[in-house]
Amino acid sequence: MRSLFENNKVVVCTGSGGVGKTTISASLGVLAAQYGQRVLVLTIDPAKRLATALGIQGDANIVKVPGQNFKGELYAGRIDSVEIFNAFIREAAPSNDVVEKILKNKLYEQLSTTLSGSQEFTSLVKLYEEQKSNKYDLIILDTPPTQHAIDFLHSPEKIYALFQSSITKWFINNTQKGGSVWSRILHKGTQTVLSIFHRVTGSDFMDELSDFFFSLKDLQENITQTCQGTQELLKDKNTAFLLVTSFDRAKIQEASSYYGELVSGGYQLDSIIINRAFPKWVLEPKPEIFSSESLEAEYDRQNQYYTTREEMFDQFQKDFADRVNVVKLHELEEELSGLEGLKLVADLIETQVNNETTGGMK
Amino acid sequence: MVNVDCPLVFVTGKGGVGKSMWAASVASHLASRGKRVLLVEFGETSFFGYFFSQPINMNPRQIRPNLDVSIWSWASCLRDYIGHLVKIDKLADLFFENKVMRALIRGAPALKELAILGKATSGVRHYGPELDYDHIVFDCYATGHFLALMRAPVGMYEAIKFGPMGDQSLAIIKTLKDPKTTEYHLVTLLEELPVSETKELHASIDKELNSNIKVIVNKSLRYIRDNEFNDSTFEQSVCHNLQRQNNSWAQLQESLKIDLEVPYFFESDPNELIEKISKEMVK
Repeated sequence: MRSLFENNKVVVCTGSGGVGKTTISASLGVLAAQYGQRVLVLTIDPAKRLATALGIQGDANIVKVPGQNFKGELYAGRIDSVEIFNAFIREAAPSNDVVEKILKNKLYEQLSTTLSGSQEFTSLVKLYEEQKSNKYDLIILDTPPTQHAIDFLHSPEKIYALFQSSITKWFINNTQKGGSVWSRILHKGTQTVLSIFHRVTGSDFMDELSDFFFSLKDLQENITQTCQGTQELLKDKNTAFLLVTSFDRAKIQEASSYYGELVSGGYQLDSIIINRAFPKWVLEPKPEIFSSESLEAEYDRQNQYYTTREEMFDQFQKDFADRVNVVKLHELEEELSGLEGLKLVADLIETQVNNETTGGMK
Repeated sequence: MVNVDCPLVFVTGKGGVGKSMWAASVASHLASRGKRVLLVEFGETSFFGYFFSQPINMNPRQIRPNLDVSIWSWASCLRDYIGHLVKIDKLADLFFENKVMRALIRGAPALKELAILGKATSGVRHYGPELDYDHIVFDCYATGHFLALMRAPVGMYEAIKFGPMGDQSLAIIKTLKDPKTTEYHLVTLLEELPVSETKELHASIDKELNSNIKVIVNKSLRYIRDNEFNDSTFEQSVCHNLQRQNNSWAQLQESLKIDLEVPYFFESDPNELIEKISKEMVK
């Protein structure tokens, strides 16, 4: 793990929702700080208990995590999507009038919905800004919960699509509302297409939309630059991806296809962390004494289940052995709370990584 | 016994609680009772494809009698709708293949969500392309994304009151709010975070959509009746998990009616698991 931290400036933790990604990110931060690094963990919507542990329950500013006694230093920040997006627009817009106009547009509010990828975009903006500041040896980014791990990588494209010059060009030099804007497009020979769009959405919507895109045109250059900058950062040789996943057939198969997409996209996947893969008792031999027959039957049933999964895991690890590290973490039964809880997970990660005979963290 | 009364069933809950498994089981249960059922997942990458080991795309694929599966992306939903409106396939293609138009639609806020929900509700509203099923079961996004999806038509209607967008948004909202046509299934585990998220989600759906909400507890260990445990790691683990689940159960029951408790089956074969969960529904 030490070399993962030392060889990279950015570690991006990806994975679908509910797999414990935020906890793993924070624990990796603890581990890096223990190694002596100045590390920042950026998280999205942490659970209350975790936010308290990191000291970020209040506003979205970056704080030095309270109560720490590490060789290095641990910082944490919460990503507030709406706030960052608004701030980004304030900064990128040429004048206050433009800012007002955008923020007042009725459709702009809808932009914060998740299908637009704005949460992912803002987390990348935040990462990009903090990385440029050069204040940290390492930044660990906890990505927003997506349905599939790969969704995160596609999100900047979605935002980028909003600002494509082809769309905004339609609206440049068209300060008048409604008919004139759209009739200008008509001259471009897309009458049929446009009349269909009109039939589907109506004049009111089209007017609002033209306002929306028109007010965004001044941001185009800035957004394009940021999108490019974040893409470069994600593909940088000092940026590593981790995939945090749960352990079932579908998720494991998904991990395989995710690996393929990352590699073909030019990103570096360092490790796959399988979280809460099995209970700790699986590592021990069958107990000699049970309190009841039913508990012994229960043991046999569960043990059978975990054995089957173990076979699946072995195959998976074999497939990936020379390409990426696969780390399997068992369930922790202690109630995880405070910084101490994160230390427990950090210890577990370190032990497991050292135990893996195949691969080993690079 | 869990009764599914409505043609539209939206399944949601925190990430990782077993939403997809429950959605598949509900669909399978209904199909086995002779209903024609479509199981739908949203997005571009299919989970059920891995799950049923069959390629799944936007065209419904039959995986067992009466049960079809399909994955909807906003683009396929919109293409369907445009095709229905303009009637001429070539025209619809022209519209859809127009690069700038595609980028425009991709960029336009809330349009994608409306395309999905428009198609989801089209059968009930008798508007748009026909979907010939008794029930459609949607394996939805997790909590936050789910609420954002469901709130999109309201947001759109607030922005655009008139014209086709206003009309469609209003009609979609009415359908989602009607307890006779749409029900919501909340799946949860007996763990602290899923339980508190379920409570909040239940309150939001109740307030913003309708009250036809069913709460399903997944992976319950409470079938274990033992009270005494020895010091082995295994029995201590069981004892500990049971205690934790009982606490969560009490917390959940404080404010919500639990409709079904599905035991933890420790079953790694997906088809077997669906069978087992489906059987729980008729108990």
